Amino acid sequence: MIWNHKDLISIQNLEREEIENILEMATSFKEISTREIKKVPTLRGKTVVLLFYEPSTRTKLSFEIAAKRLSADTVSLSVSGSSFEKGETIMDATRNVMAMAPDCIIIRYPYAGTPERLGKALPCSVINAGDGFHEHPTQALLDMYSIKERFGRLDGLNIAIVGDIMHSRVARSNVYGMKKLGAKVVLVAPRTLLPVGVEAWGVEVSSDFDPIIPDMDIIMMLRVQRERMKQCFFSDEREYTVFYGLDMPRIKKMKPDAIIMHPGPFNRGVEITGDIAYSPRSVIFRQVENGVAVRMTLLYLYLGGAHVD
Amino acid sequence: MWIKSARIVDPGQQLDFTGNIHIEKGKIKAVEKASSPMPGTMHEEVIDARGLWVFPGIIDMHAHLREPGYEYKEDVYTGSLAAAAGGVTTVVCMANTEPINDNPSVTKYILDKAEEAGLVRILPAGAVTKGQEGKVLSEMGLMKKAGIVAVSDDGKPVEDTSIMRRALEYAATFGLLLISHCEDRRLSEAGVMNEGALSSELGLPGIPSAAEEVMVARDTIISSYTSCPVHITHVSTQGSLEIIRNAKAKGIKVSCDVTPHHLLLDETRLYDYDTNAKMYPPLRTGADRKALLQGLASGVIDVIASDHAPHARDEKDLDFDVAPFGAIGLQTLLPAVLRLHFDYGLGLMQVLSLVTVNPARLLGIDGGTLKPGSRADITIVDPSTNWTLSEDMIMSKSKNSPFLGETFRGEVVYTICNGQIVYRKNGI
Amino acid sequence: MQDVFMGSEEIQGIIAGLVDAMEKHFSSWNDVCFIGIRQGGVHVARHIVKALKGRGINVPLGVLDISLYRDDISRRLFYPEVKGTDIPFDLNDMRIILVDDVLWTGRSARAAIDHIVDLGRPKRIYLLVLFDRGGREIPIQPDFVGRKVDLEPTKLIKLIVPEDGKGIGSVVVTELVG
Repeated sequence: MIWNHKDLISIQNLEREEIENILEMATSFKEISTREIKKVPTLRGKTVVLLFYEPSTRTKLSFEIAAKRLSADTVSLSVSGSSFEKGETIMDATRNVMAMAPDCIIIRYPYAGTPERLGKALPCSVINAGDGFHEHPTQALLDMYSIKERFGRLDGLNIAIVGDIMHSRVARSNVYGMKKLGAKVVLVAPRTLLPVGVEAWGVEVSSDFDPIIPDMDIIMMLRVQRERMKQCFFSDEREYTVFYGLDMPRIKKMKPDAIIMHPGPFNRGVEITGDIAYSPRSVIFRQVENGVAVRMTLLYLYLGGAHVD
Repeated sequence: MWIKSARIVDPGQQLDFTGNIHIEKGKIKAVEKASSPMPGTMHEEVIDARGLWVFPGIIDMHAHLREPGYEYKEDVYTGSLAAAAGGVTTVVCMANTEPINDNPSVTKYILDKAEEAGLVRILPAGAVTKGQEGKVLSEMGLMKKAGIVAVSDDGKPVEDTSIMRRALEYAATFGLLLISHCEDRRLSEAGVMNEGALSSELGLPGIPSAAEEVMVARDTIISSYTSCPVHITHVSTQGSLEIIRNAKAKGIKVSCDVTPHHLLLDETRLYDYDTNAKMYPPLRTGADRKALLQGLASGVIDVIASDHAPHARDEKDLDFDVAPFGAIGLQTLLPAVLRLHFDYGLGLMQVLSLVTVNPARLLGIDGGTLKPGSRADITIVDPSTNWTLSEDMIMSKSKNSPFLGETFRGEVVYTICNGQIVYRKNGI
Repeated sequence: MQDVFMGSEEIQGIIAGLVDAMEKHFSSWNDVCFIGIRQGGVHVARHIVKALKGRGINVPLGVLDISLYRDDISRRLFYPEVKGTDIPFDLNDMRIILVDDVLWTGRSARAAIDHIVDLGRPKRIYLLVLFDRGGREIPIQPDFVGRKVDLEPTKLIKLIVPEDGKGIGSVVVTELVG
């Protein structure tokens, strides 16, 4: 196998076979985390910089653990407010970072496209840990891994992604990846939260949640941000929950072996009730665990060798 | 001065022949077919224009020269240099400077700077409302006396329909064309590119075509109601064009312009998040672009204007969402027009009229033609040269062109303004 | 160009010899285990474990993936796929017989030893190889050698495992690419 990508910006840039390889290899990396010594020397002497321009607990932690278990050195920079809002360009900001001679920059950014531009400008690998409403490829890979772990495949599975599709980078990356692996995806949201031109994604779209529930193997709930109410994307939480929230009566209509996912963090009582998040159908916490294995795989692939262009 | 043995194309007089032009005291003295004998004295300068094409000086009725206030982006002098290098002899500069050009002293300041630069003709457009705040009408009459040729809310459109109505009536009072930037800012919101499948894919907030079209509809309705002319600038959607076509058919006094970038590029240019291709209105879909090209052919579109909008590199280096809207265009206006002729099969006379006689008529200014007695504003191009736009050729202070790296056919070799050569290609 | 260097019968013979040698060496087997290095080593180890079983000796077998312990990771242009380590027993205080098909530079054995000590603290590690072709780049010595072979540095010797995994397969010698 040859890995000829310098940057991981979008799931769209990965071939089906490449995604399958990542998911396959992640199982090997998962084993490392079960050892007493949870560390391999693979990336000794490599420097991984985590640049997080948006608050994140899980993704950042997950990447950091992944890098450390592979023996890479990590430097973590959380940039909030001050220097960023003054209009400092990302190029200015990364100039300091480049002095550390990083082998990889993992970036979470509030605006779409900046990781891609950065990847083009910098010699090191750039891994997109979420950019605006664009993509969050590592999240999608770990979601697909969690599905494959449960079902052994994605081919032919029916997957519903429910909620704020418009503002969700997780939904975009998952749609691209899941489709490549042969799953059938339905997006469920009120018309206001469906992206314009969503028909072009080659998925089914519905604003009516209940009728599709019995056919689904996976229901993935997306976080609904409260500020969307003020922006008139929906009326209020009470109404949202009635039409698009996952509660016990809806769970009962699911297939016996169907599962529930959520990229987190979830709003209890809005898109999902608390008891459901912890129910046996939920793989929400496996998702977190699998995140480390998938990210170790990615760091190994993107950092483990000379790049072939 | 004589220009000898050139192909002379003047849409204003519907001339297209090989001949000579005689210039005297800043005016066109004569235009004649080559067969006629060539008089003149030995001490007059002669431009041997064999194989070259000669047009009336190009008029760009929509540009931002940024002075006063934003001289780090551009100033009247560098803007003039860019215009001259692009074969543009008349530039209408927009009022969204700092301070806003909403009173005769700012107008006069700009005209003084233009005279200092001494290259091309700079004609300011005044603001529609004071401070472009959309509340109180500006001193249109006094500014006209000081030298403005139009009023425009470009950069900050008038939201209040009743003020727009009064503005159209007030501008008509002074015979000033109102150039309207059509954008419903509530609808375009935080958008940074055309709204559609691609904006959803790229994760960039969209600007719906409707944000332009509702305002085009509003302005044409108000124009019809008041019988006052309105000029819609930088039309970018199929829908807007449709509204304008219908309005024109009903005899409403509406005119419009489009930009070279909307004619030659579409939204797919944004796949790499290049901020040089971020502008308002945004690059639209392939279908919109096609409609604009058809609009040229059918004559619905009156003018091509650059919407030259310089921004410093630091500003364009910002994230796509944050970087300012706008692209420079003074130097690529005529090359784009020539491309429409060479690559899109549009008649030379037809496309040239959109940057010469048409804007002159709409603005009520002289120039835009080679008729004897008119200003000797002349652009001479070598139609055989292919050249590729690179940053070092750009005369503007800012280099934010979406056409960087693109090859054009036809190169400006001389620009003559008011009888003076203001640009001469290196080596000529 | 690849020549069949050795057929399955001959390999089986070598394995039988190795088993004899080990039987002689180990008086007790209850703290002994085999760990095969992916891929060739695992295959050889499987056949040894099978042969011992035929003699009434049951020894556990684990699988080691050394991809993550290699010392040339930044220099490779292609990536060995990581298939994972699978050792379903406790290594602490065990005597481990590390198995590989070919011993050459010694770098794989070094990586394997590093990997093993991350998994526990064995009492002793032995190294068993089917072929020792010399050419060591680090001080590694095998304890059990099937056969010593003498090859030019431009040649590569490897065990070709049958696709169905049954049978010992054959040994080929090829030109080293690059």
